[in-house]
Amino acid sequence: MAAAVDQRNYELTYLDVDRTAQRVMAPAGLKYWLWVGFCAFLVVVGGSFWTRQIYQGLGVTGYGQPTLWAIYITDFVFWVGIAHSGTLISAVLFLFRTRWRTAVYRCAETMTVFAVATAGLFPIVHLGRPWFFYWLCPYPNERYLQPDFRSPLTWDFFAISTYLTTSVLFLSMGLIPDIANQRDIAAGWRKKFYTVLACGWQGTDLQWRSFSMAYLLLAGFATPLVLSVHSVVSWDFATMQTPGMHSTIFAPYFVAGAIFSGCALVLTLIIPMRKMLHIEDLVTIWHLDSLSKVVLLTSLVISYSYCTEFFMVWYAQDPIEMMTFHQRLFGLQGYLFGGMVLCNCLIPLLLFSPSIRTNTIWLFIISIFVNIGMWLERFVLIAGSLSTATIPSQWKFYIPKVTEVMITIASFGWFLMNFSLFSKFLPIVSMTELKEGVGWLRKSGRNTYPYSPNRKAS
Amino acid sequence: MMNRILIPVSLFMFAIGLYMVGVSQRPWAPRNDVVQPIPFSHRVHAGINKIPCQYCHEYARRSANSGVPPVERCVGCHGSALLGGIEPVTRAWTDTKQPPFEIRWNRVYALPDFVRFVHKPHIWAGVQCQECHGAVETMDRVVPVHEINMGFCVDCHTKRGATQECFVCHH
Amino acid sequence: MSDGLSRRSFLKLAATASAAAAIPGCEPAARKLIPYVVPDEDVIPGVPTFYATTCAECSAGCGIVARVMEGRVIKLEGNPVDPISQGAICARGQAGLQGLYNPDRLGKPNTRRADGALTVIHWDEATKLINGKLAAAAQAGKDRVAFIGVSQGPTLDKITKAWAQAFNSARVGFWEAFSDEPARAAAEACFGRRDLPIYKLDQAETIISFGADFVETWNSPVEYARQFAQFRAPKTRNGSLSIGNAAYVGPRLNSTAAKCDEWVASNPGTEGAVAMSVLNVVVSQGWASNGDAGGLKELVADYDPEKISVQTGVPADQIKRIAGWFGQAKDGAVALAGTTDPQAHLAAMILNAVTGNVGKTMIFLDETPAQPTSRPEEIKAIIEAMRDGQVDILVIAGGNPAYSMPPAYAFREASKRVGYVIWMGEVPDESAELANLLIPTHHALETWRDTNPRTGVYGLGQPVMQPVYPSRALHDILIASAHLGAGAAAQAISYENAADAINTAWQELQGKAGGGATPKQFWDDARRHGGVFQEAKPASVSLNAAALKPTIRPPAAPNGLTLWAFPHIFLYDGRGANKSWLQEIPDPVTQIVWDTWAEMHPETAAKLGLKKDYEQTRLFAGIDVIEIATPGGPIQLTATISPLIKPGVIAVPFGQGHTSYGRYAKGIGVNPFSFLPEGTHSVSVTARKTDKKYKLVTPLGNSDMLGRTIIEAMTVSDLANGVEPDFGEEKIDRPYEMYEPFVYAGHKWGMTIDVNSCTGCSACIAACYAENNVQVVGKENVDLGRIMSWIRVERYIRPADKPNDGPLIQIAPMLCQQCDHAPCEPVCPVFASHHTEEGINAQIYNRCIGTRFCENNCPYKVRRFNWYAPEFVEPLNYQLNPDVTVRGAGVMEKCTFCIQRITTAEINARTEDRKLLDGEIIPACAQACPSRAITFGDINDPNSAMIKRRTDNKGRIYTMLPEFNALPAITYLRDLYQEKGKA
Repeated sequence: MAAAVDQRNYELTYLDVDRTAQRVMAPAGLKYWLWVGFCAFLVVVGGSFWTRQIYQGLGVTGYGQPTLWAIYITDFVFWVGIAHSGTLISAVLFLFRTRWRTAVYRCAETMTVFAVATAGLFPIVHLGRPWFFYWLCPYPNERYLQPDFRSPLTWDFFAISTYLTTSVLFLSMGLIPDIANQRDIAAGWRKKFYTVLACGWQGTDLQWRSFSMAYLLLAGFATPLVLSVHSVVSWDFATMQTPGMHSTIFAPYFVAGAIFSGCALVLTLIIPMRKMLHIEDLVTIWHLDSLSKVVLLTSLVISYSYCTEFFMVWYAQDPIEMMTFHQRLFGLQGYLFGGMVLCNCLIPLLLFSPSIRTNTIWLFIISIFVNIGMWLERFVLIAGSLSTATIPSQWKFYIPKVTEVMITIASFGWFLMNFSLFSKFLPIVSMTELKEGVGWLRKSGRNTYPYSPNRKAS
Repeated sequence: MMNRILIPVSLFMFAIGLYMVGVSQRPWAPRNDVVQPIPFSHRVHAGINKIPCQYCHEYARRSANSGVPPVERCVGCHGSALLGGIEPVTRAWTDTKQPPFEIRWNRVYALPDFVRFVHKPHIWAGVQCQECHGAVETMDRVVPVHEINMGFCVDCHTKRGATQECFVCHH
Repeated sequence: MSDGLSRRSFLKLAATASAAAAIPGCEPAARKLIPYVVPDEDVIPGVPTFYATTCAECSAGCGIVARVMEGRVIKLEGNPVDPISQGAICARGQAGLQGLYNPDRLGKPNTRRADGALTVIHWDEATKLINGKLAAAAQAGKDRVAFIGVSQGPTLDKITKAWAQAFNSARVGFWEAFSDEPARAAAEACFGRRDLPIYKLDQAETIISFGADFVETWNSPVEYARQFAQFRAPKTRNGSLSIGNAAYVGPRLNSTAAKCDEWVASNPGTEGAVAMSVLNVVVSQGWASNGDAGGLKELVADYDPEKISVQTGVPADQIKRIAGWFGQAKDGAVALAGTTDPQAHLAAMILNAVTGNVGKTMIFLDETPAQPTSRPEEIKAIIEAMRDGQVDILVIAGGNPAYSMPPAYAFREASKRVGYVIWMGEVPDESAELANLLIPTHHALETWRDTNPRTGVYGLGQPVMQPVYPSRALHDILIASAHLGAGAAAQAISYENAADAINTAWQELQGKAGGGATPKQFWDDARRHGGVFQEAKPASVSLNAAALKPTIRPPAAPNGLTLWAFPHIFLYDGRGANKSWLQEIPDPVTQIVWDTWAEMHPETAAKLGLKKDYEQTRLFAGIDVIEIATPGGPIQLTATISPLIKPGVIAVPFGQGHTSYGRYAKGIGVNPFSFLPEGTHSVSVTARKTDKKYKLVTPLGNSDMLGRTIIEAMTVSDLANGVEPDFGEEKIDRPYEMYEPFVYAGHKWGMTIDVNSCTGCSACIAACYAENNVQVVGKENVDLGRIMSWIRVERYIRPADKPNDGPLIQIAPMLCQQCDHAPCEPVCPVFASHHTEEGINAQIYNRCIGTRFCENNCPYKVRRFNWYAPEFVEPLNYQLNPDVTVRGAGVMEKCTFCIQRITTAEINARTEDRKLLDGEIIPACAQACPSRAITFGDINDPNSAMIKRRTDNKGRIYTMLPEFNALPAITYLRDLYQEKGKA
């Protein structure tokens, strides 16, 4: 907690909210642009590696028999997973009228949109002939050929595109009142820009009424996606006969994992952000605490699913499955599994202690670990299972090459760049809902959020 | 307003892009701008003189390729005339630096490498040459009538109840 | 996708940059049509023509048929009427094409300047040089001209000799690295004749091979693999269903030993002693038909199994056991010897003789052809003369003596003393480095040849296409030079050129073997059938008592390490090393590609202090390099550690270690010829571990089958009693099906593969490479798991702790199983992988977008992905099969059951308005298989040979990985072995 904040002691007012938002969106300094530039650089590097891969063929990667899926699909699942918490927080918690969501939801929702946008790239990066990716979508053509709807990849295509559309709609919907607010104070090209996005919002009663109704509907529409999208993604693997993937537990297990990693990433993003943008009194420890509770819960769910997975295999006594899981534990890449258990099951247990839950440093570190762990989980699941599949003579372990590593790193650059740009040019915390929050604080006879600095001081 | 211009422009660009991708997929599409080294007229040969197609394209019923008639076949009828020299023909030969009698016809119909079209079964199934190549006997310079793409093949196969198996042509 | 490439490159752009960023450069390659001036009568463009000729890859002399399209050979197939190959062909034979189209073949004549660099010269100049030098040499005196090369059949060799005479020299040596001298010597000793017998393995009940790898490289592998398969097929012998007993004596378990019941692991070079002690038992047990003929007893006196087991390292009871098989074999036994040790051959022949198998399983034929290769002493004499400066001109034509001669010959040094060295050949090799003049000659498939591998088999080799390079036929050059160069002696050569010579020779032959045919008929038939083939009468021979005099004392017991070199199944004596197919096909036993390895037993490795967990190290880092101190100096090799070899032995394959000989051969591995003493393949060495690391590349992951139903084996007794062997996996009755089962109105293609017959010779793999334009990816990519072959040889080693799990090592071909419930089909989002009306899992390359989901979901892991665009170096691309798409980068490919052959046959049947005949369609793999392990046919036709083979072997059928319920169209027949705990 920054010392500056500790000394301040005043009641949170509507004006505070507005002021903070203005401050956040004030024209950026050099540091900011250096950061964005760095992200952009990563994107360029990754892009050039991809270009090379397309020209020379996938041979430039470390791929080979039998691990024909590895890092790219891992990244894909990882980013889709990230997306989910956003929708959870913004839509599901909205329907449940959860108070603490108001401060973090915009951030989470933004994360969703950009995460899906990133995830959507990877199936294309992964293709042998990416220039034909559009064959996945049904369109009338002279060949009379359509995609095969039995294939999970076709389901994926629809799941992801639906998810992206919905998230974008939901985000831009929620933005409207805040943007209108900016429009009224902004000047120059920003004014034009906001005017377009604000869709002529005046804040009339009618508009507010239809706004909240539309918002409710979209939230209702987005909610099932939280479950459906990642279930579909999990079926890419669950429908496979490959031992180690051929399991019915995958859908719930993936959804839990998605929320787990998603909330963790929200923490990872929002903790430094609230510091840098000085919004500690809007996004307080209380919010972080609630988030980390979700992380803890989902972590437990994950651990439980791991156990179930192994139990089912042991119970079924199928020799091939057993061997695959034996390899996963004690095989040549068993250390990956170890790392994943450490990051996903053990480290999050620290969150049981309130002191850690309320310590941003700890939270930040733990959230990083969780992200690493979840990435590892997908990698072990995909590359690991494939490398020791049905025909022993074809076993081979996957060792990545620079291309896929760089493209993976670039995907983070791409995500962060978009996210940073957004946070500068569009309100990253929802003024509207925070004001509601303030209203709620008033009604509930409090001055500020629980655990907020001035509460401590008093 | 910016978006008034932006949106249509971007849409237009996108359309162009799609079109180019679409076109670029068929570099082997039949071409109607092909000029031959010899002003050979199918109208005269197949039309007026009623020479059956397979008299010259003799391999059509026996092989995948229909075959381009050997120079011997021309001489067979034109005989002395050729040796005496029909002006355009000899010009074609003397102009080119090629060894004598090597005529370099330009292809009108070409298929991509991953399509294995075999003339033989089509001929034996009684498919008329004109069904794909158009009324060649009315053309001086052969120009394609149909665009020979997969849809064209599939339509005919459906109509005639022939196989719809991808593997038959693509292997 | 030749014209697709440009398209692809454009689309790549479109995919990376914006679509507007590029101009499509979409001009298809072939836009010109150039007609014949006068069409060739028997050539129909697009329809293959077949020419019968003979294979020149080894001395077996198989008849082959060349498939020619538009004037280019695209595939070699076995010649069905040839008695030796009988329609089959080995991997090396297939790869003959890559010799023909080798990108490194010499294009034009070259001279070597003073500074050693080569300069291209014109043919006239070259011939002038040759003739001038030869004339000069002939002037200089007698025997100033020497010729060292390979034997190229009776007629051509005659020309060579006559040519030498024309330049008044007799120094002609026909060199073979793996000479049959020991066998001939033994034959001479035993039966007073220097010719080689032929063997009838299928007539025997017991085979004991003393170092003869008869399904790999020994004598005539295609023929013996076929005979061995018949020998191993279950048949009723004296009352009970049984398979033949086979034992292999040798230090290393090669694929021959893998197919035998007993691998008698003997110390290198002691096969002869083992043979003698087998003889000892046979005699002492009184199994020898003619009792103690002329002192058999004292011959074998020193070879009592107990006594000899110290030197040989073979337990006495094992020797007694195999001797028992041999002596008590009711209908025929045969002993084969394939070592450099004359004693082994002698013992083997005596064994056959005294048990009355000569004339039955080992047959000498009358009027056998003269010995094609020169004796070592003749070769040595020539080299001696060279060293003494008695030779002005040396012509090297094949055999690569500089590479394959033992250091004792000191060939390189000797050749330096020769005035002028002319090298005539195809791909410049180590011997070419010694030459002053390099002359490009035709490949065997571009010339007229004839062969006479044995009595009654006269093969006619005819050129099957126009020369690829502006080379000339070796013997045309010789004849021409003889005519020009020499004076009087030139009359010795009466014919114009080689073709004329062959023709003349065959006119003479027509008198002998022509029967009633007119010369023209005879000649035409010979060209149509690839030769003339007649029955040959066995000669009556009797064992020569002199052979029974004790000659050699038993060998000394080995101490320390022994390095033992063996002919590589594909590279043989190194001649195969410039053919990328042979380099990339994994050695059946070790599964190693593109390299020389040092094979050793875990014990030996432990002694050298190599890592134990070599599995892991091989997968990642590679393992320690060992340095072996040999007589020829230290060599560095990487160990592959396996239980399949005698402890204390380091086995190293011949074939690699070329310093030139083309891009595929150069700079790989080590050449054992360079340090092995003359007349033996084993030498005692010392070795030490270095701190270097090196990775032997193999597509193999795990050698343990982990009890999965991939390759199954059962005992003969179980088969006889109709007992289903229990492999511990639960039996599945057909579960509930979500989709309607496919109905196959017409055909439903399937295969039956007899694992018992498969020897792992990999002929099927080579055939598939040739037929289906499968790309060769090279060492690095194989290491990354990107080998492209559609069919592979699955190889598993029985874990040491499970002695009852069947044979020690199991081998079976694995290819796409063409499942009914193919797991690969429903997962493809774009229908690139789908099920055809005839039950084949089609893969539509041009529809594939490369999601690679199908291979992930394939239980058999038989699909292959194109990681790069394939590269076929000019002129190797001439070999591409025009009926098969060349797959581009980023698409999946797989076995198609040779769909191009299927569709062609179906079109023919339809146009001829008839039914398809059974056996009309033969996929490349089935066609090539020497042991006839693969049968292809229509499952809907109960009378097809394929279905018959299943019904006839009901007790043996199984499908791979049944628990996946994929319902493969390929049914395997179980491997057979004698009894549990053995072999």
